[in-house]
Amino acid sequence: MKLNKTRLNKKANLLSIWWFAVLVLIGVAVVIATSIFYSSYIDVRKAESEILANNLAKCLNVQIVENEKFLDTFDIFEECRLNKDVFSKGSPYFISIISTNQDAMKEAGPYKFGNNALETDCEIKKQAKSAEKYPDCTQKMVLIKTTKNEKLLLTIFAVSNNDGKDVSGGENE
Amino acid sequence: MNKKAEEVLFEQIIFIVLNVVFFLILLAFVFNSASGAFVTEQFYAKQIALLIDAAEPGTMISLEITDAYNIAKNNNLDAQNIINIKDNNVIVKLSSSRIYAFKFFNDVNIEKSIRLPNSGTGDRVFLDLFIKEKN
Repeated sequence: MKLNKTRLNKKANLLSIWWFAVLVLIGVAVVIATSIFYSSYIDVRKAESEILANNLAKCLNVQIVENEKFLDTFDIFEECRLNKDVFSKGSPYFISIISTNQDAMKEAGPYKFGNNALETDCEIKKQAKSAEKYPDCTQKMVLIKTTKNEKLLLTIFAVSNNDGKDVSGGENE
Repeated sequence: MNKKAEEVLFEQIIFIVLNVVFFLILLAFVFNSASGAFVTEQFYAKQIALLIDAAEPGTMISLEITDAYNIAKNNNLDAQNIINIKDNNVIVKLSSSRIYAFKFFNDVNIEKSIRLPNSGTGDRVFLDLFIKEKN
């Protein structure tokens, strides 16, 4: 009889403050974990900087070899199909091109377009152990032979810090 | 004694019901988050922008956007307006509360159309992009 009473008393404590505390703890943990997982940021800056560098390499090859034009004689935005407004002040992109004539060992450039501050950010990112907020950078070296048989080494440096944004304020950019 | 036993039984039933309700609410929250618009908006905006950046004029791109269409449909949005391309931005709107925009740098004209399930695509929805030289 005494034993039964003790059991009944124990069962009466099922809905205790500790049980509620455990539920709250589990709930908070699941909500935090789910929110972190599903609000995760998709980083495509590296892919974008690589596409930009590849597009430039293709375009410069065509302009220099086929059209015999060089960077100071053509509009890179028009000829390489780059939107000039996107590369204006405060842009998330930066391009730098250096051309080295391998025969005469003469260097031309750097020709810089876009947001110059991103170039410094790339240097910082190279040295830092972790710099997630800093832009992603791609350097591409392309050796091309002109119609005058000159060997030109193009060093193309493309940077992207484009992370998109919520424009639900009503104004679609 | 019988009354006491009834009380205990009642308490146990409440305990079990509350536990079940609590875990059902948690499950509903997780499923709701998993089908949320935020990641899908970001995913499609970035994927479409990268496809446009890498494309040459004359390219035709067909991208399946059934996931995005289903989320927009659940949020009572017009399917033809879930993805827009304006001023070198890919703009994706899958919920009435937010719009996500992602820039692209390729200076091209883009013709956009969305093929809905009743247009011979089965249950699937496709976004067609035709990349054209800028005039």
